[in-house]
Amino acid sequence: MIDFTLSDTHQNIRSMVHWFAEAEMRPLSLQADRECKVPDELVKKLMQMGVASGGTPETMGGSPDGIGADKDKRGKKQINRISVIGSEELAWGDPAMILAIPGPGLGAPPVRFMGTPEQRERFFAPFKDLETAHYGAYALTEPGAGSDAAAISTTAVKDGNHYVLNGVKCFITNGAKAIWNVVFATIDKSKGRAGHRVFVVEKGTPGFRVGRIEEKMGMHASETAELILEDCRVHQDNLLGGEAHYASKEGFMGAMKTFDLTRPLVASMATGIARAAYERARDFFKENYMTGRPIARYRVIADKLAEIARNIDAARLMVWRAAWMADEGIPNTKEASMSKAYAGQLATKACIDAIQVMGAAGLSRDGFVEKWFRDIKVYDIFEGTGQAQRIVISKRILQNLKSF
Amino acid sequence: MISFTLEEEERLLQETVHSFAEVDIRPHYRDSEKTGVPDALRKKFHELGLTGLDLPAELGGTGLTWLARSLVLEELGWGDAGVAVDLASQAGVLAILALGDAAQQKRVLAPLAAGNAVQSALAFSEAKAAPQGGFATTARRDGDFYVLDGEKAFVHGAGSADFMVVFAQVEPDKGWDGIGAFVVDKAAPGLRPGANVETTGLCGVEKQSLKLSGVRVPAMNRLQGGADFVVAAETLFRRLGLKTSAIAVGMARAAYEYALRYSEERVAFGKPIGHFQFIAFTLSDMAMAVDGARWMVWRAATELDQGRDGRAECAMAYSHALETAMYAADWSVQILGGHGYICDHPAEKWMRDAKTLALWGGSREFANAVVADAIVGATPAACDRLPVHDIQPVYT
Repeated sequence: MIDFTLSDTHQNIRSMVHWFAEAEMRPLSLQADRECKVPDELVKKLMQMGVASGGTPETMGGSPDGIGADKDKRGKKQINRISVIGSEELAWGDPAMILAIPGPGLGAPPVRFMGTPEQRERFFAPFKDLETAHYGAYALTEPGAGSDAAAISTTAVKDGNHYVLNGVKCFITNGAKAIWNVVFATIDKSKGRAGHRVFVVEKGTPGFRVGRIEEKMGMHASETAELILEDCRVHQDNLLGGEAHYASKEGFMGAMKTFDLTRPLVASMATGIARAAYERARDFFKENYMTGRPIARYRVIADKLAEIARNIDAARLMVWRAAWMADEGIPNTKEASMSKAYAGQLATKACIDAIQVMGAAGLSRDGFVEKWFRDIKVYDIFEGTGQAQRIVISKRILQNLKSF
Repeated sequence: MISFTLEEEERLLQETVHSFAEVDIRPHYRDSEKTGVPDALRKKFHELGLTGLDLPAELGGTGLTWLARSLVLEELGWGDAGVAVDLASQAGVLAILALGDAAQQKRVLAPLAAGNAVQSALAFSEAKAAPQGGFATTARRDGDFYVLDGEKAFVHGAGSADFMVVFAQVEPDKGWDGIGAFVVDKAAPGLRPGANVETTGLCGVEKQSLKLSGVRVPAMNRLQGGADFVVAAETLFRRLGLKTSAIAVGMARAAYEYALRYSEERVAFGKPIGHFQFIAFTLSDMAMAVDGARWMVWRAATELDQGRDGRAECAMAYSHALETAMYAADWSVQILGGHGYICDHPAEKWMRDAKTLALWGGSREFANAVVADAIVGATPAACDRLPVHDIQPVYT
């Protein structure tokens, strides 16, 4: 049945996460932006609450390894729907802090999907400790390869029981504080994707060090690190899935498949931020335009608000669709990219328009909207730029398109 | 719980109407633009059991949910937006369902319920704004009758409908708060449809003005609209707008699919034009827009199906779907280039249809105003709750 209502469980999750976002995240949001770090008190609360990977607290079915109470009473999978509902609220609370929530983060899906049972057990084990904040991270991007992931040039050379890694990774969220990074490298660049190998590189591994921490337009509370690998020796047990995994061409595709789950998640966050900005603009409008203003002025601004509101709803529906497909086991690569491309672009526009509705008040640093405007832009860039999403979509709607 | 699964019977309905659109509607899109819907096609639509599309089961109709109707209308719109409007708009029926009491519904809709291919019309807009607001067309009480005088405009099927619902001013001093609606039989003396108006799009759909000179309507034909007439009239336009939205989604999808296919076949500089990034990305954007618009329509439909008023949702769907239709049609023409502009391809027709459809039963500006009022919790005056002609006249 076509249904756009939230089940009681989903509604409860939304209310609970929203409450947390409003009561605990928002009040610290501006401070975190200025200090470029998530306040310790919030991290502590997140730990107490048991928030794990992907913004899904254990109480709502999330667990570090993504396996657990992710099914409804009839055994139907619903983790993706739960995740996007929860993430929208958390991002509504703060777009940067959501990326600094302790847990394996974007590193979780590759470990979950490519790792052997032993590796899953080993790498997820630290996250079961709910007293200490631990982070995982996902290191794919390099100075010379971003959306074109196949072009990475970090090398991995087999040497006995080890691989020796050399290269530079950049723009890695939580890369410096992570207890491990999922690092993509190549054993033979001429083989393209087939030459890729995915390693879990633990903090403290000799030859692994953190380079610069980026200063950014926004997302200040989220750490963006450069990682340098110089003759970094990684044991073969840290090769995700083991060598056999890469014999088939599924290896790289496995890594790409994680995007089918994470893209709707990022899109839901963008939707949450857009909604936050829109709500501010709406309230400003209510207080300032609705009495004693010329009707024409009211109408022009109202038209803008209405447009933001409906585009946000459209974005959410596209996110829900992609998440629903993931839960149902329907291939959703195209739809996941569609949700991300649409939401990333819409949210950026929504934040710009929210400032426009509020005029100069929207630019003030003691408000939130200018921060969200700075934060949101990256949502159309990371996890695949809007343009990279359109490459994915193009290849799936045009029958014979292999590459541009 | 959030779900995008169509029920088996909904899928079957969708398939049935799609094949009707593909086989019986689309191939004749040029002819139907010139001569309207042929009787044979109307008959076939009737045989599919869809003439009473909006009629609840207890009145002998299909009893289809709004979601199911949206599916039907999307497929019809995919076939041809003009044909879809002509066959399925039934604004007069919607008006009676929204404004009439149970007895009136039963009486007026009886021929339709009995399985006859009845056509209806809705006369709402007027060509000129009345200085005091409201309608220049008046309804004056005279014993057991109302006497209607004036001229309506932009009426779909004024010349061919079996009955129509006419909006008129009942209380002259009250502007938009003093309006009423009446069921008028096509044979009523004093009723004179004007010549067919030629428009930029939806050309096969006849649209006329309608002169009323001393038309006597029995008092029992006045539609009271329950407790609050303006609220009931809002409901009417909400439903009419939702139907237009669903048609618009189908049209947008058709335009997108056509451009997609063309860009895979047309070769330039040694490869299909779709393999150039700009075209491919534009097609991706079109795909996103069409899907987004459909979910907006479906959500609005489920709001109505669940008995909520769907005020903001329907208006959002209208705005989104009609914007998408224009966007997709525009790019369809653009991707076909010079071929898009000439009449060998349907792209130019979609672009004209999209523009016309965007003033059918509403307008984007009106819809946005409804959304804005809903989100800020404003209680607007009657003139802001209906697509009134003194701001932007619309076709009905």
